[in-house]
Amino acid sequence: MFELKRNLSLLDQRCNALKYFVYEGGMWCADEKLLSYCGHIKNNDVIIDSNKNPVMIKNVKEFYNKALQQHQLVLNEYAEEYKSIVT
Amino acid sequence: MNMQRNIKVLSHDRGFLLFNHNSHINYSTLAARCIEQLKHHMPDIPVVVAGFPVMNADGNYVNVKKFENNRKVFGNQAKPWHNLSRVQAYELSPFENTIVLDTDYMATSNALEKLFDCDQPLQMHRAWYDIRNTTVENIRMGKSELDMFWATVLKFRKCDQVAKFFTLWQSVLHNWKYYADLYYISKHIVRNDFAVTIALHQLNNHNDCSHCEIPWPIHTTRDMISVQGLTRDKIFLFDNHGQFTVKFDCHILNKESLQDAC
Repeated sequence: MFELKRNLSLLDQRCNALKYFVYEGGMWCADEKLLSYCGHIKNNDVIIDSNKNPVMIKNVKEFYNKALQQHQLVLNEYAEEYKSIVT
Repeated sequence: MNMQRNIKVLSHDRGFLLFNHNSHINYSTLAARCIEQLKHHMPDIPVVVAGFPVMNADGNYVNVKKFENNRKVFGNQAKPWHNLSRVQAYELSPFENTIVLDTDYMATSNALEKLFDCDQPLQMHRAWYDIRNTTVENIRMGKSELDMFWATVLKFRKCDQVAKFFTLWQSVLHNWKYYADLYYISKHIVRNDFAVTIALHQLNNHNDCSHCEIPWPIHTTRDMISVQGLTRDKIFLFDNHGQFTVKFDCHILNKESLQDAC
């Protein structure tokens, strides 16, 4: 049981670090919150990155696609690794 | 050292800088492996070494002041700890954007590349993930209310603000006893993590420093976890619960076992 819990925690940590991506010099976590937030901003809006810096998002579609791609990449990794841990 | 050639080769906007001084640990072995890992995952980013030269580095700077008189307890014995040269990183680095790395930090991914792409001029880890206890937390510096920043991974871009940070860091080292008293930390061991934390808070006029934080925790194995093996993307570890594997960049405190695994 300990081993299982530890392996899941290690996986969680790995995916947490992988979730970050950089766009126009700003850094964001490609989590559900950001993906949802993307639906409420428009081109040339300024948003705050992980380091509390304001960054202008020139192209929201491009930004969203990058975030979604990173999010999916991490989730796919998570799903694959999760399977190998629990089986 | 062939300075002329190195400067030509390394006129690059980004690169890693490692400090390497051998003591009871053969840090050159660790540095060589650290470089191997970095070059595998980020082949376009040069790595230079300051201190004792390492063969697979893209450049070596040997004229580095070593600071002989710091000691740290390893196991149950106080031994020389040559950790203080890193304050020279700003003047030594040939890069616009530099990541100063401890040689006991093993990259198993290209996660550090993101730091180069980020515009934030100064970044360090604050939160740490304790691989043994699977917890994420911040460490308080001495009896102060300040959270410690880790000097293990230090990204900086050359600019006036960062130059000032390095000046403050130098000043903290020169006046260590004063700061040790002020923050209730040990006078006897000079720790870069504490020195950079104090310098960073001074730089920010003692305000919030979270904008300088690398947003994910530094993954660290304590002394009681030994390294059994290392591949390009995995580290095999062992503790009293048995063997386990990590697939992320890792700061390894048990240097003896890391040296054997390298």
